[in-house]
Amino acid sequence: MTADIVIDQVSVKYKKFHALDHVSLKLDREKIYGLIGRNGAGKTTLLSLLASFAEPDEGSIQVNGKPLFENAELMQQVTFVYEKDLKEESEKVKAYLEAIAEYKPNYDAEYAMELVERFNLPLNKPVYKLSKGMQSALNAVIGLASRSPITMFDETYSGMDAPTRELFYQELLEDHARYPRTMILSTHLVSEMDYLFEEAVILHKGKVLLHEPVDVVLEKGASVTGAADLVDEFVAGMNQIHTQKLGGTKSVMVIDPLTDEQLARAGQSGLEIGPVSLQDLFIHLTKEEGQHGAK
Amino acid sequence: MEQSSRKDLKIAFNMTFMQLGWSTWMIGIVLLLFISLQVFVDFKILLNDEEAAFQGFIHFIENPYKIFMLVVGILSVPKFLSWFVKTGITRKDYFKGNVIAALALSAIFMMIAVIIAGIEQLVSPVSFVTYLGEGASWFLIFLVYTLNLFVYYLAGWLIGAGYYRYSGWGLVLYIPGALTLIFMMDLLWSGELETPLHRLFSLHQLLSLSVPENLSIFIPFGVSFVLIAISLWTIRATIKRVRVKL
Repeated sequence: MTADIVIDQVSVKYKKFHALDHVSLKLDREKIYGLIGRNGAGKTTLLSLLASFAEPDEGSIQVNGKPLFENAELMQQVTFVYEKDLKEESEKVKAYLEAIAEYKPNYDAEYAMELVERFNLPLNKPVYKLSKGMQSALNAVIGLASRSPITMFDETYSGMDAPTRELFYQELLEDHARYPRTMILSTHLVSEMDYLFEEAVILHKGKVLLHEPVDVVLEKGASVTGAADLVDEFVAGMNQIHTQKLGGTKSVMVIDPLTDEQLARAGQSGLEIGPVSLQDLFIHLTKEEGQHGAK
Repeated sequence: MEQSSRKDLKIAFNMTFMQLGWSTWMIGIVLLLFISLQVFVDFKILLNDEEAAFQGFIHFIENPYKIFMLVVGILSVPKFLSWFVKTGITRKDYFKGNVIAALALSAIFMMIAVIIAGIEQLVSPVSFVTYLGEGASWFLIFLVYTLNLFVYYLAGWLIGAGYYRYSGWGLVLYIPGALTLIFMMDLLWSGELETPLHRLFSLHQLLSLSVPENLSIFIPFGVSFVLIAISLWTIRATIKRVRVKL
């Protein structure tokens, strides 16, 4: 079973603070989504609604055309992995995994053990004694091995070191290819994860700023690199979001799509044209007043 | 539907065994204390009361059981509801599973107590006294104690649910509610208390005459069931759509 998610005009308020403000999204089945936002943008709130931890104050969430909240059939199709506080979990890793496995219809115990080995997790250690990185890895194992049609990772990777994160990304892609399912990865580590995403959703202050396939997003702009004066001349009048300078070389990120004529002109001037990065776009779009994206 | 009913039975089964596991320490220690007191201390001196004398294991373990039920009840929402919802189980299935588990736990506790009391009778027969009076049938003792343990669990569950949902204000509202529940049960079932309510039912007398066919025995049962129903309804209403903390 796979799932379509329809989020319609969803709002969540914490006292006066609008954690989510009329969010509408339609997420197709079997795709990998990047949910990108700054701290406090509402990423975790949105994901916890999809996990039925709470009901929206306004609006509705439907999965496969049915209301999600407290729906037994749908709830067991969702796995939400986040940085859980595990310091009171006295159970050993093995028992901890087994307890969860019992309630996950698609859980693959064999695959879980494979991942445990790959992440070097000690099966006989109590969970609370694991280091932060290992707890993150344990969460990752649960998220992957549950094989839920809707799998959400909320910055689970922030506790892992870089090689472990890399291993996790690789596993995620491979297992998604074997068992396609809707995955939502929330992050602010955009630059190292952007290749995972098929579609990007950028949340800012409880609102959806952007929801588009990543390749479409990347065509929204370009990076122009070359001799400083030539670059300056080329990008004059364009919407510049990021500038880097190294010696006589300059690289400017613009968010105007380039025309064929402009591309030809760049080629003649010896300028290098690359795609805009999701990270830069994210920084640009969520820039606060008084803060600088371009330095 | 069939799958869902299987799920709450699974939840009930897992919860019962987990909580039973926690209780082995408590029961073990109480039993050890009971045996050593019986071997080494003269109870009449200790209690300074000829009448109270020794009233058997069931009487001895009654309060530890009740305290255990209360505490485990308080933990239920923050520990189990939270875990189950995070694992993809509905609040409804958790609730149903928990009710069954609490009943099962109460009954198993009383079976353990009755078995130990039975052994006690074989080893050294004592005049067996519970608050149901002397000579009350073992079945009735089992039934009434099970019901009372269950109610202590509900009292704890109420407090835990109230606090989880409304934090500080939850305690202000739900603790008096839980205390009222326990107080009412005491009023209904305690043979020691000479309360107006108790005199009205005159349960003590009825039981010592052992006339179960008299309808009055059903009054405390009836009222107990009403109290239990109100408590269960309150708990369900409190947690029905509760936000689960991350």
